[in-house]
Amino acid sequence: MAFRINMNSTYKYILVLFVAISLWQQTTAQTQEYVIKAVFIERFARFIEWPITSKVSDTEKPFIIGVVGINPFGSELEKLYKNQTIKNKSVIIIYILDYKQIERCDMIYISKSEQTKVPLILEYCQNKPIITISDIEKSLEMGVHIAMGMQQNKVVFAINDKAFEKSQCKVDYRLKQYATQLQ
Amino acid sequence: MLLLIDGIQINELNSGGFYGGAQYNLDNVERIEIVYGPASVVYGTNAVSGVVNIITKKPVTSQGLDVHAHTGTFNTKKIQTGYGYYNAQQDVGVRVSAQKKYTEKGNFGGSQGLFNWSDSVYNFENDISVDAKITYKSLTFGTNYLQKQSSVNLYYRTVGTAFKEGESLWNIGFLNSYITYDIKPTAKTIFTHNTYYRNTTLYPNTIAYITDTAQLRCFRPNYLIGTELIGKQQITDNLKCINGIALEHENLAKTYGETWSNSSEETPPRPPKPPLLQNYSANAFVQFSYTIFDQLEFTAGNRFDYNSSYKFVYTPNGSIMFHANRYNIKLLYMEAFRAPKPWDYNWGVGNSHLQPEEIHSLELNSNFSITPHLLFETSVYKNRMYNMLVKNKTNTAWTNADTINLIGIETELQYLRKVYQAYINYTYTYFYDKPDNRIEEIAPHTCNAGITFTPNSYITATIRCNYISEKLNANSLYPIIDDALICNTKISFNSQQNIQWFVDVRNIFNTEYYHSSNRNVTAYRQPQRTILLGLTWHLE
Repeated sequence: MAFRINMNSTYKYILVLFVAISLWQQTTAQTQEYVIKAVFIERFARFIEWPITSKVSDTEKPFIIGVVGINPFGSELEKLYKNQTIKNKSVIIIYILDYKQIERCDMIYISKSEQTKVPLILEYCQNKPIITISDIEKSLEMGVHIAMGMQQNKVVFAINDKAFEKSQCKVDYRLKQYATQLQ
Repeated sequence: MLLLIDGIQINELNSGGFYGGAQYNLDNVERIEIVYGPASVVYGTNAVSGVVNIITKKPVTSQGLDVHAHTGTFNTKKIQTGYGYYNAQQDVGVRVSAQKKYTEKGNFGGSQGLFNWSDSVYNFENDISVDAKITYKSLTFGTNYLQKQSSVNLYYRTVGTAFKEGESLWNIGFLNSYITYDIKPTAKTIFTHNTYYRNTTLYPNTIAYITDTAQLRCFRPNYLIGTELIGKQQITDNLKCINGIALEHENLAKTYGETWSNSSEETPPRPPKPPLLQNYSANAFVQFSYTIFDQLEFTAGNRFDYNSSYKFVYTPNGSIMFHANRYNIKLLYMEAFRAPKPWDYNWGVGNSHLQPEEIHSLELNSNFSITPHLLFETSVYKNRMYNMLVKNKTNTAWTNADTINLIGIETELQYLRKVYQAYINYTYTYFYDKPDNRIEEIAPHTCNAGITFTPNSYITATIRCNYISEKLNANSLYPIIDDALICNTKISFNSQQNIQWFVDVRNIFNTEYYHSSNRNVTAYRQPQRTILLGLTWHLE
């Protein structure tokens, strides 16, 4: 089954995501935006299924997250994935300056520094099961899978169904329930 | 031009001018940030025509071992190696990188160099660059060292003059070391405290020139220590602020320590340390940005500088920016200054009345996404430069010159696709001191174009061309420097994921082109066709 979901662990992750969002709502003043965004990126991966033909299904290979452009996370992603796995695979973070490296990734975050290059970056992901995430304004309209933004001091996200269809990846409906419309 | 490495100035301390000769370790660069135009409000003195900030690789983002090497014509050789380690558990990391490069650049003998030098003249550049960075949480200790050794044979015309070619050496080192850390009192406020040490020393084995009867050996030490606190605050959703204060103390050589020998063959003894001039400075700046409707942003800033040499300088700026879906328009008013150094006040018979050079600039900039892959940018600006430093009529001291004006137009078109990436840009500049007196020592027309072709994930081919129009030369023996078209190409091949081979051909048509000269050299011949073969290797 290409898209079989482990319900027990899924509910656990939904709960964690919900708690993370709730905690964020309560502790906005103390918490940094990109610490929360790093947590969100990690949670998104739990609710996405890659096609069985993709390298994500190869348990021998690590799960690769690419940060394209200037890294706004500091060391947060590294700390987060030191002991965490995605799809039971170890996680490698790569910091991409040469766009050809994008093709190595399973998931990329497009930094705000690449604002004028989003269409070009998406071309590198075309017809490949690479999930694209960004917090660049209007990035959802440009074609990324998941766009993050800030609304009333909270991190929110929106999902681009068309982009998911094209990449043959599937997003769990429970993640969609928490998605919002970015203004 | 202000050149920074990891936010710390590396401009030569005596002159404050940008020293472009030392070969920086470009394989250890994470990114290069460029601020176009005058930017003294945030960056202070020397940020006159722009700011180039080289950000070196960090341990967290550049782990593993990397090696870059190339070899080629004119005895060119380069080797660079770097290693980064990061421990996420402890949030501690270290990265070191070192590069050595040697080149003889080109053939400048006889007719190849406008008969400035003999057929046997030789030239070399030997560059060493070392970077080290240790991080622990937000604390970073960094050091960058550049050393340039080059022959001085091409600094002076030797044919028909008293200057001789020989074992001359220009040996200069640039050392920057810094400790920086962040303080975050609230989620919307961050302060960065930075303490730094800069050293620019012309080492005492420098042989500045050789004449028929003597050699001149020089020594010029300079150092500076400074501390700065930069704050960034998000005051409301629409209003943000950047501000800072800094204190600096510098010790600059009043003149060269010099020793002479009694023949062109004899090396002079080690020069004495020259007297050092002390200089203190303090500055404070604040710049606010206010956003209306997410699309309209106003920025206004002020800076106050006090210096024990030139006293007070006040620098304002302001801008209005309009962002829309596919286009941005900016109207900017910017000022900048370059402070005279004690060196300038004391050169020759001295001039204690020197004022800082100033530039006031008004610029209208717009960029437009014609399609998602086609970008067009244009900029129109008028600059007025006041108090420019020039030598007086008797060539005995620096003095402030009249106002110089510049009108400039720049346009660029970029086409960005995965397989093809192309750009073309054109710049027109009109320099004048009086309405009817054009200054033609700056080429009025320059044009650059390039294309990168990536047919698959193994091969990348790039060709870049640069056109410079005719301009005047200060040297009356060669009063006009002809226009020139210079093209470079590079083809790289990824044999494995982490190994890349490349062939780099610079000046592929072997164009004869020159830079202007303010020495007794007729004009400076620039390098001929150079072919380099190299590889890069990265082990994660």
